[in-house]
Amino acid sequence: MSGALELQNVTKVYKSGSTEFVALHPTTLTIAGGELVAIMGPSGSGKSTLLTIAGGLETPTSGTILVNGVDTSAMSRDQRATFRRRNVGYVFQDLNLLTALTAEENVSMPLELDGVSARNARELARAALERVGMISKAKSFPDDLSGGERQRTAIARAIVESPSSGSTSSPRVPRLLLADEPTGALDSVNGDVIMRILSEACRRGAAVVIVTHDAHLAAWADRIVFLRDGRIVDATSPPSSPDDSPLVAASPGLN
Amino acid sequence: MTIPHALLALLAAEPKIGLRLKEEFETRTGSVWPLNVGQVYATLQRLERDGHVSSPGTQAASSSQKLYALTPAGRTELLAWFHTPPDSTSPPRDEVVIKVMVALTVADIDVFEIIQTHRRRVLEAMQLFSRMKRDNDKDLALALVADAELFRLEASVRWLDSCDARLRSGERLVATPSFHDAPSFSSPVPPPKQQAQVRART
Repeated sequence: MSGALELQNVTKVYKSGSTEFVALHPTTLTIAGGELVAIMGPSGSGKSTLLTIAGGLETPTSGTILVNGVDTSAMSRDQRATFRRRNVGYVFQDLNLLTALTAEENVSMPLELDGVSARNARELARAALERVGMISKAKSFPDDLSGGERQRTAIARAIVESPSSGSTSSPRVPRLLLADEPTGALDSVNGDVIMRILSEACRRGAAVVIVTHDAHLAAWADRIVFLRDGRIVDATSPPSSPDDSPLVAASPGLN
Repeated sequence: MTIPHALLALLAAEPKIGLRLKEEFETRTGSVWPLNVGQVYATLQRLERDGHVSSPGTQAASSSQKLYALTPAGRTELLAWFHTPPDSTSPPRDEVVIKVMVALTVADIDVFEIIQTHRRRVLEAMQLFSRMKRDNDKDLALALVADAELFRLEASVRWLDSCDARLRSGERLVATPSFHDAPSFSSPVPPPKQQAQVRART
């Protein structure tokens, strides 16, 4: 089965002098378009490493990463940056919103960097803000927004659609959305709002991966993958198959 | 305890028949607490006996469906119930806690595997309630009841996490001294002071 995101025997080893630290043992994981997966694990279990490697922000020590079937591990740094901008939405833990820009400008900027006309980019940004219920705050600056509103702006930036490139009208490939603790320190009601938005992005075909230690958030996922000491050790059964097959058959690092 | 008062609350606005009380109870609790109609009628009979409800007649002249109304005594009882704290002095028995605590005392048992099994099972239960919320975003009653279950289950996951972390950091149960550690009469020298014995496994 091919997925929106496929990690094949991906590892990450950090070296410092003669000592090595294995952040990720060989890990294999496939996530389909329309699927919401939560990765849970204690601090230092490798969950953020997994996410940054999946998003192409870090390179793996070995292994292959396919995003919508395209091998990103073989790309040059520049190729990967372009590919990431067009195919991967990333919600950072600290949001990374630019305080000098309005919500709308924060969302449209990546598109403009990618060569989309300013007018076109604004339109797409407003559509994304509409979907996260932020259209009335489009002209506000991040400092004038509440925590939940800033979070939703960051998600709008991650889910903003780029116009189909070139003249060929290719079918809409599922986008990959990656989020590290996407609700930050929000209360549970606002957390639900964020998870509802991510579920909605899923329903529209995106593959969504969130990293969290919060059970309340993880419970929104179709599948929860448990990471420990750089290995996938367990996973919940998908809702469609109620049979008892709790372990991910995919990873060689099983207990 | 709860059902009689829930029925009194549903009668606060106007007199109703038993079947309607059953339906309203289920709707207002997000359909997660099904109530059988026999239970409703038995409860109404008791409430009537205690003077908390009265029956002013039937729903229509031609109908045999008895209407029930809240009495002033019933209203006083309901208000008192709203303000009475639940009994929190005897905590409910948590089976997950018991299983892990007992597992810690058994050699050859991988406690971490037991912890992970329960963590996964509890999260699977949480997924069901989250899906209920996701698929019924206009149903406030269901969201409130689902949240109550989610927070209860989340507490269980948090307990498992802290239990896991404590055991991994090397904290151990202090076991009672075993038979073999007891001072022996034939011992020529007094035995050293009892050491805390390690029973949990890493």
